[in-house]
Amino acid sequence: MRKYLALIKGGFLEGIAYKENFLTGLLANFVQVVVFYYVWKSIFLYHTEINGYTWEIMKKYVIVSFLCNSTFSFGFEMQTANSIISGNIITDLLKPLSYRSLTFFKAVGTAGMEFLITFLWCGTFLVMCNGMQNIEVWRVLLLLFSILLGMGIKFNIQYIFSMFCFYTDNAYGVVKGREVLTNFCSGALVPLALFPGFLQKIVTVMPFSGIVYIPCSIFDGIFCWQKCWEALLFQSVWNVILFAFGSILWKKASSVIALYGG
Amino acid sequence: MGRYRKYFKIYRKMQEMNIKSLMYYRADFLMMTFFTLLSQVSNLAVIGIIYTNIPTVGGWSVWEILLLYGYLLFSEGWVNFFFQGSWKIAQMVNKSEIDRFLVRPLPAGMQMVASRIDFDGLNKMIIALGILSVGIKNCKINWTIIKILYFVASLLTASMIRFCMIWMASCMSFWMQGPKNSLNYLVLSVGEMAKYPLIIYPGLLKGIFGYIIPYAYISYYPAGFLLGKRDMLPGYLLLFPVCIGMLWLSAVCLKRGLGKYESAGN
Repeated sequence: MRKYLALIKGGFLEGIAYKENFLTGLLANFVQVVVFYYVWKSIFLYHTEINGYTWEIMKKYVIVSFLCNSTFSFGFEMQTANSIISGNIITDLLKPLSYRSLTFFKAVGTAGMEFLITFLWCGTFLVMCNGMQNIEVWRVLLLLFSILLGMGIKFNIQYIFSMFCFYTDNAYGVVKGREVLTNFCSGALVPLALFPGFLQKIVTVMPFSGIVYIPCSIFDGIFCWQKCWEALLFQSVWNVILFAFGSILWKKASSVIALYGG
Repeated sequence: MGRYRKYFKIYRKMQEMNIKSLMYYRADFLMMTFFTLLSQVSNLAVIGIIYTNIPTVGGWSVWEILLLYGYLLFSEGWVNFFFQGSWKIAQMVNKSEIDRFLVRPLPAGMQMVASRIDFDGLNKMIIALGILSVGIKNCKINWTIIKILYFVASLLTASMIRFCMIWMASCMSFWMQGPKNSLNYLVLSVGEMAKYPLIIYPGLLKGIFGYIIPYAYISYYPAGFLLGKRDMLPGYLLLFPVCIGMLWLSAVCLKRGLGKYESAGN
């Protein structure tokens, strides 16, 4: 247990040390939120409802999607790639725990810091523009639980993508590809319910929807009680599948490492 | 005049050398092309999805929005292709690469912008021109000679304004001196707002995008002129003075920055 705590602490301190990166990422995400906030606002001036979304619901959606999207956002693909190129990965492999646990607990530490800051920011923002009404306690609790599962999915996807770094030197491309895919399919840009028919069917069964769309829909009241539990189950199942897939990939990828010199 | 022709020739030679060094990483290049395409498709899909649910945003139709998007993307590609060095000033200052530029009989600023190239910029410019032509085709613009000239001039002017923004944000590295500078990334991401008409934002943001980080001149005003939108006259005309002002500020930043520059010793 102590070794995990040490890693979490390390990740937390690392997050603070590189806070500049995190803060710019956060601000960049925030710009995106502000843009969508005003785009939707201008749209809802002329429409009272779009596909079940009212301006009240959309406001909540936009703000909570910022919360889900900002935490755990930077990814560790770059780190993995750098340690493969420099050969430092050997020191990680020698440690008495698996590479996944190593990255996971470090990421938990960093994500903890990110989550605290974003949560406070979002909370204030939401209360400022929406007031306290219409916020139900059980939905907040389910939201937190759902975000936790969403983080799991996010971590597993990042882990799978970082495996590609064993095959290519272009980590920037890998990160960019993952970001584009996640942002689009998770509902961070537009709620999945507004997607046209066939596309909606595809994206709602993909794991990405568990990162932003599901937590947001649980919170803003689009999902009924039963649908919430189904959604949480959906997230858990994807966590397991992605975890298994990650293990298989690691077996394959870790065998191709070629370290030069020594 | 002859001096500038010489500089231009040397700039071209430097860019050719950059391209040759890129040939070495061909697989990388193909991968980046793929990812650029992917992200552009996803961005356009977001706009498409919004517009399948509603007809206009702030009075602008989907084809008009494509004009905004095209201007913005073109300027981004322009910076990547012709002035990619402006992204790397933090690194140049931190590793004192600028020493090398200062001892050569050429303007340091020119060597800095030409020290890198990102071929991806060419992809972006081509995609942007494609998007612009689709937008223009569907917008029913009354073309006159003035509009055609304005279109070409505004595309270039907007791109130079974008370059100046990135350049100034990067030049802050002369004072911050850290190995990284994320201000330029921040300036880039603020550009997200220029994808939608300025009219939808509240007064404060309008002020910021019109005067402090002048993104309004990169997409909103030039596209507005082509589409014949009303009440924007000062914006159309201010575009050119703003560009000159930004270029002047960039030159001042460079001069002051180089004055502050103190190598790293050998």
